Amino acid sequence: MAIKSLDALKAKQKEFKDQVSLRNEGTSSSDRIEVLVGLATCGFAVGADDTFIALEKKIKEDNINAKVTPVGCIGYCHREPTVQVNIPGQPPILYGDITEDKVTLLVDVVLKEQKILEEFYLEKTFDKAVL
Amino acid sequence: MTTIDLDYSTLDQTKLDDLTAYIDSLEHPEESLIHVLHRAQKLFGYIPYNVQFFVAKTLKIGAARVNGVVSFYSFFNEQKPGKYTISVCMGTACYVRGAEKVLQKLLEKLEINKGDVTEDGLFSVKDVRCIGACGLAPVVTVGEKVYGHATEDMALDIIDKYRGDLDGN
Amino acid sequence: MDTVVKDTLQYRIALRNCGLINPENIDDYIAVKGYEALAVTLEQYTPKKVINIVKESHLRGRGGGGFPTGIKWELTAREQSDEKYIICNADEGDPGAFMDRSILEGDPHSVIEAMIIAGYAIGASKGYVYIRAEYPLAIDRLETAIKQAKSYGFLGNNIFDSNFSFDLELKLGAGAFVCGEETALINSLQGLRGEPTKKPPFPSVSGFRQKPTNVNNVETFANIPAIILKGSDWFNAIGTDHSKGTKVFALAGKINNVGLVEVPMGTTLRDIIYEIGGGIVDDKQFKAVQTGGPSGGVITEENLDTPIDYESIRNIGSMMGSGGMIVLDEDDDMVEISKFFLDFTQDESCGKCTPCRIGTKRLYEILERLTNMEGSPEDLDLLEELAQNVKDSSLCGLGQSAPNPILSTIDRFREEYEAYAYRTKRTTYAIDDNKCIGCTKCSRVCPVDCITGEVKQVHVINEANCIACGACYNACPVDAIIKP
Ligand SMILES: Cc1cc2nc3c(=O)[nH]c(=O)nc-3n(C[C@H](O)[C@H](O)[C@H](O)COP(=O)(O)O)c2cc1C
Ligand code: SF4
Ligand code: SF4
Ligand code: SF4
Ligand code: FES
Repeated sequence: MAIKSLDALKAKQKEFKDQVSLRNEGTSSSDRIEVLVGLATCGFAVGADDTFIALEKKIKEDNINAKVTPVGCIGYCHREPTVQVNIPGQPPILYGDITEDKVTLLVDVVLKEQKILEEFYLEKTFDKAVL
Repeated sequence: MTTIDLDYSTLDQTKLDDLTAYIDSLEHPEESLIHVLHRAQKLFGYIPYNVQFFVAKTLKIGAARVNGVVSFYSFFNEQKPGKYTISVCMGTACYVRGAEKVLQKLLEKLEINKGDVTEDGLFSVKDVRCIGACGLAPVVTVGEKVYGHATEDMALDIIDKYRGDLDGN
Repeated sequence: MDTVVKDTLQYRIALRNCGLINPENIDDYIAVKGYEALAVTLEQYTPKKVINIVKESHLRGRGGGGFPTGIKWELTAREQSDEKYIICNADEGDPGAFMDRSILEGDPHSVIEAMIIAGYAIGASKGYVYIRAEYPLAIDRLETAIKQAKSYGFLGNNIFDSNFSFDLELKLGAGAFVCGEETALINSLQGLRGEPTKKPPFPSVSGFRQKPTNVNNVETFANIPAIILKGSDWFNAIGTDHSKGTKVFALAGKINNVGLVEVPMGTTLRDIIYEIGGGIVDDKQFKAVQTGGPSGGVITEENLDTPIDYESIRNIGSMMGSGGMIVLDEDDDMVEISKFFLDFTQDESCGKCTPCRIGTKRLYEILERLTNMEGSPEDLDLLEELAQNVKDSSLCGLGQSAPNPILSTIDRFREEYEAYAYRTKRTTYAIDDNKCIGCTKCSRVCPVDCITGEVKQVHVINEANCIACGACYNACPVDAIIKP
């Protein structure tokens, strides 16, 4: 359905308040975890699509309250596939080199134990314009 | 020598119908020549003279104009490519990371020149310009599949893999 | 727990959403204020006001030329015509650059939104994205995004209940570098060979279908929604005196952190290469960074601390280009690099004008002669003379800039050209007798058995047989092998 006014657009924006704050600061009124997987040309070339599928499968199997979202390239091509884990109440953390075979480890350590996976930790080195 | 074959009656009729339907659906068919050619290449795998001639007839434009466009753009093949086209990126990022060696290895192993097809019709090798995965240079692609950080050994593995696929493995 | 964002050199405007939203879901874009700039524009601003905001932001074209975007919009707006067109140049021809691809794959709606805003500003009701066929994923995502924008009424008739209507279509390229040049692009868009035409008339006067046409690059567009919402003062506070805002670079080549970076104008190359890029692979010696692709040049160590903007980068002998940045190390042969670029340009020359068609071929042949060790010192003069000639007499930007890689490298690395011209360049490996400890490692790896020497004695390479494979170089524990 069409959005016909600035007010209607802003109302629509509001529906996603939690999603935005979770991705930006790690705050949310829900306790649902979100995992962002970089799925762009560079990611595909090193199997990010397999990572994505494996993540969805593992999360379902282990009954974790989390959703996996495909996103574009965050720019760290040298560490693809990259994955950002947004756990409510914690700052979002970026991980690199998360090929399919690292998915179990990532889910077990980061999503379940909620610890940082030092080896694959990727320092986020940018600030962005917030509109 | 290649003889110029303009007879399109030998072409697959369903593919021609598809192309005609596509052209009929266009608002500005003549302006969309490049899109029509993309469609033709998708259907036939390449754009030989008789397909070009068919396109010209259907669009009611000169065959020379169609050929002028086909030959101008490197994306269009006038020659039938191999079953698998192995493309080696020769963009700057890939070049400085050693793409030339990978390309040479492929050509050497397959005993063909760039742009040619192996005798069994299985492979052709071409160089392409940046596919935008420079982060993984050097990059080799086969169809939609992208291989990053390609090495000479990987080049050989790729050949084996596609040969293997054909053997039903 | 510590916060993860440290003091950063990068500031992302064009890339603000890349990697943080689902590009295939318009709601993800709306969630981060997507299409709000469009709503504000249509509900509150006149076209003139929009143009003023863009003018005052001093945004300059990110496709390479650096032409002020607001002025370009104004030029197209003031033309009287029943039809005008907005074109997004997504041809991204610089081989080794992937900024535009990443934006289109990661945040296609930002470009679509900006094109609609531009359409409103100049009075166009139709837009085209000209995208290279080599980017299937970007094409897919753009197609999806256009469909979604239509279903929300952001494309189509009476957008946001205004009187303004706008539609958008994708047009594919077919692998021709010259089609990135705007007049060639327009010809290609009309289903013709992508040959440039003489300017004037500029596209703003007579472009697509002979109507006033505004062409902007992907990254230029991606900045627009942010500028509209945050204002020109905000944008002006970022960057240098004459270049405002940020620039996206695609860092590649011999650099550790290959990837996309977006930095304020005025950032130094040293910060980009060492701080953000993590330095040179295997700790090798930095040699140069190539910017501007086949139209650009090389920048060496002495200029790494220059704050980079459109003007300063020209002053140090290169150009901004679209943002490709290829880092070269000690192993790279500059004559080979310029041969690589000339091979590219002579192949991509559309052939319409002689200086470029013939000239780039001759330049390439001279370079080939040199690297085959069949050249002579006169070739260097010939090279420079011809390069200048091609630059001065070619019709379009391709020919006019094709000699740049030669002129720039010959200026900085003349000795490498001379080594070929005087045929003094060694092509084989050698052993430094002062360093060799006689460990025998090299002789064991040499595939052609051309290294001899007793244990604990200095080893020698028989240069007649060496195939320059480099195996010995990698094997030597004390760096006694000298490279050609
Ligand atoms: C040979 C040649 C190739 C070009 N390739 C591109 C390109 O790939 N992408 C692009 O945006 N601009 C390219 N340009 C610049 C365009 O002609 C044009 O200036 C630009 O699209 C304008 O947009 P901007 O003002 O937003 O930068 C090229 C220019 C020349 C001469
Ligand atoms: S300069 Fe080269 S690319 Fe440009 S019109 Fe002349 S021949 Fe064509
Ligand atoms: S470069 Fe290769 S061929 Fe030459 S001496 Fe060393 S190992 Fe032998
Ligand atoms: S590997 Fe190095 S130190 Fe050992 S013998 Fe060869 S040159 Fe000498
Ligand atoms: S240069 Fe090879 S993918 Fe860009």
